[in-house]
Amino acid sequence: MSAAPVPTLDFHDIQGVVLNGYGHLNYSRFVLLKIIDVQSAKRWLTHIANEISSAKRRRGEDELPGAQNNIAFTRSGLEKLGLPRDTVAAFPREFQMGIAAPERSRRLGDLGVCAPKSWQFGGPNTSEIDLLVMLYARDEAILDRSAVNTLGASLAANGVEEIFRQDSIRHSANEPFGFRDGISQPAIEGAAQKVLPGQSVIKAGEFLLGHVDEYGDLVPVPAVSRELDPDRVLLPDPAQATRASFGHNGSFLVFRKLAQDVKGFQGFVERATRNADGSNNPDRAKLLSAKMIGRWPSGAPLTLAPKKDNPEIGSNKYRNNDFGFAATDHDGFACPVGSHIRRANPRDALAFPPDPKLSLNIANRHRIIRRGRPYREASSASGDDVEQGLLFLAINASLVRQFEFIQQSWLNNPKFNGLYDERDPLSSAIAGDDAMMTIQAKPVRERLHGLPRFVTVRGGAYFFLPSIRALKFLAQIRS
Amino acid sequence: MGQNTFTIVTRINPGDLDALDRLLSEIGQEVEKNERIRFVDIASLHMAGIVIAAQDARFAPILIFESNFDGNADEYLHELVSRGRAGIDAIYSKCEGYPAEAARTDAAVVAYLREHGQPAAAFFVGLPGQTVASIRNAIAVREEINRFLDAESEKNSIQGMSAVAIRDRIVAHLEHDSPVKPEIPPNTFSSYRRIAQRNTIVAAVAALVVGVILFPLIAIWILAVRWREVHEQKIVPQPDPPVDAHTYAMEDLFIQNHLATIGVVKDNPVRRFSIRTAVALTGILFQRILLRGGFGGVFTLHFAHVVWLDEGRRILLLTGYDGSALEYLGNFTDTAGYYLNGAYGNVNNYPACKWIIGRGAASANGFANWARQHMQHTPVFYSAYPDETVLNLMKDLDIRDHLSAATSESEVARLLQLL
Repeated sequence: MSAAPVPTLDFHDIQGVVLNGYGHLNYSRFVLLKIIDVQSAKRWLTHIANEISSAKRRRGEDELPGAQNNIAFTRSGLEKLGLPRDTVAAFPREFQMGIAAPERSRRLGDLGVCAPKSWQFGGPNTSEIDLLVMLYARDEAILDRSAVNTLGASLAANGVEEIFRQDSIRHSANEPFGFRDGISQPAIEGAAQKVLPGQSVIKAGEFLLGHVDEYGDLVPVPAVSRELDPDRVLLPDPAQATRASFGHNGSFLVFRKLAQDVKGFQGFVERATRNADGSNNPDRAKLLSAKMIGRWPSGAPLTLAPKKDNPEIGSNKYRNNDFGFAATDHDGFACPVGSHIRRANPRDALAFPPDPKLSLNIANRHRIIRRGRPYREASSASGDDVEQGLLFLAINASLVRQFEFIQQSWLNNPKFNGLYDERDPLSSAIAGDDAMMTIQAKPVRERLHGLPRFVTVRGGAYFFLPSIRALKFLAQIRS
Repeated sequence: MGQNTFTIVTRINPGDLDALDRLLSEIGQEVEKNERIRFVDIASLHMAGIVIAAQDARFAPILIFESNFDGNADEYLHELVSRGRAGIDAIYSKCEGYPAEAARTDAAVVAYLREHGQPAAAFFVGLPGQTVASIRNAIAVREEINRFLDAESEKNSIQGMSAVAIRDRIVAHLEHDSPVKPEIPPNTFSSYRRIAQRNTIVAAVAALVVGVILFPLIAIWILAVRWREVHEQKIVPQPDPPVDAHTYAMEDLFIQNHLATIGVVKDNPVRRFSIRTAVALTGILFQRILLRGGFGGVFTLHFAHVVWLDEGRRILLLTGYDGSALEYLGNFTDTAGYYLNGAYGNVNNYPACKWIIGRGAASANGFANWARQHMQHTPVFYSAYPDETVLNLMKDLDIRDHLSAATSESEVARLLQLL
């Protein structure tokens, strides 16, 4: 008996950013807003609801658009817009708490200099955030036009106030440390996308609410009374006849601003690889930085190119993600067990169970879609001192089981996969510790001591990324 | 000398619940430094947890004091009282039946604790046969080897050497220069592999014989349980049911953590028989066969045991595990749900099972929700080696017990790669 065909997703109802990274749109703007007048904000949302990009425009179907807009809401945003209390209460605990809650900070490692109290936005000392508008465009002029179209000439007239804004221009595929980014993304079942070699096809329920997940479960989604939806904007809730599904085709979005200490990273690597006479050793420095990341700057994985960079592999999307660790590099002699990419996605090489297929299945239950964009800004009046980093955007159906799990159980876990006392070499060093990384080698390991923190969290928030139907419902909901 | 467990279950005096919670929270705040019970001075104690179970209004609030230790319970209880009499008095004077002050001798206190001891219906030990002293020695040996190798690397003195040559340098250092000496016990952790293999064969033969003889009865039992699985009222899944904020705030605080859950057994003779049988069989597995650090994909459990409460109406599971609660629970969902389903499928509100061991914990959302709703507050948790995971310790014991005796280059290389 052949397996049942996988239903194609309703692209018209899913926000575009879930299924599309807008790779052709290198200019983007992220605007965090607070609702100050609910009725005006609703009118504005009603007005722009049709401007919000769905996933319907897909490669091969239409000409690529020059701009795309998406929108997402925090818990307070949903509440202010009048989503019933029982519906808000049905959202997951972590979303309701928000990313800056102490329980979340503890799990995410947002401590010390990364603690929410020192954030630029989203923390306890900054204004409440209700929604996020994400604008993507082909060039700066289109971006500015798109911003005016979406946000209007006056934010106050739309009932909202700007809390924070960050622009991004992507000049290359590399992130600020100089490594090709965004290579390993999961393919989504039913998304009618081309599956690349090495890419896992993940159940839609891992990224969209109301769909079956990797466990075979259909997790209940927040719903509203049918009476609140007389125009039947929302789909019926399959679990309760009297309710309509507010969450269906929605997702959760993690938004974090991560400052990267590029000079610090390069300086550390240079110092750690100097020759005995004190001279620099650029080849060793390149190898060490690749060991910390798990890939070479070109994107070539160490597992496939253990000795030196191979740009041919790195730039080839049919080759740069087509690998596992178990068969050829289980012990981490090429790509260290504690390297960034191996922690972020251990693929088929979890220590237990020592079964590559089962390990891959487990790893695939903790995947996220990454939609990060680089940023660069002058951080002092002179403009000489430039801060750069990543606007980290991740999409998942379960914040706690996907984003938070990766952060807590893999990246920040000092005991990850049988290691002893070390964290992600890029992002998790804790001040005061002798932060360390083990680099597996024959016949005996090397250890890198004194790792400083290279990534600092500047802000963040958890958002609900509603479906197009839910967005329209939200704009017209009667309080 | 094997590890043992002892669990004291007492009713909390009406009106003393909040004061007891405050007291225990104070003890647990910095458990290693607390002066009320000097856990750190009890050389035989691996792990202890003190749990307040007061969430279910149908049952009187109880205090659960779990200890996992080397040797026998009597010796441990005397040691506990001698090292923590002040704390024991403060805690148990808030529980029913504690001796009046005038009659409160050490002997009377030990007798009270023993009298309220509840036997373990099943007891799992992650590292069987390994005493606290042995484990601490293995940790110290690994740390010393790492220090030595770091220093030698700094001097470039081991570059280009073979694994055996490096090992010889390590052994020489441990023998002559190191303050830490390997103390290899007669029953090494690896020796339990042979015991487990032998017991597995014996158990398989016994299961086959019993299965053939009792086949009709077993078939009837399986069908009876299946009938109930199909016809019992199904739990409506909830997105994220409420949890006890107090308990939730204690989650994932340390490298090692403690989880206590209490489930209410379904009020049905088939269910009661099934859970008793499943727990008894699990007890045999734990004690005789699962002696290799873990089972399924669960290699994060230091200790676990089951205790019956209220004449078997409730089942208490106490575990000391590594990592986050979500990862720990996920281990069962991903790879080892069938170890729980056989028993917990007979407990109220547990996610529906199929043919006794199927689904149940394999439903990630349902299982995590069940665990969160049934977990109890553990204000005091002590571990003798709080920074080490089971995986760490398995490697430490392997290195300490075998590095010096390994003969081949490949075996020495394997051991060095554990560092």
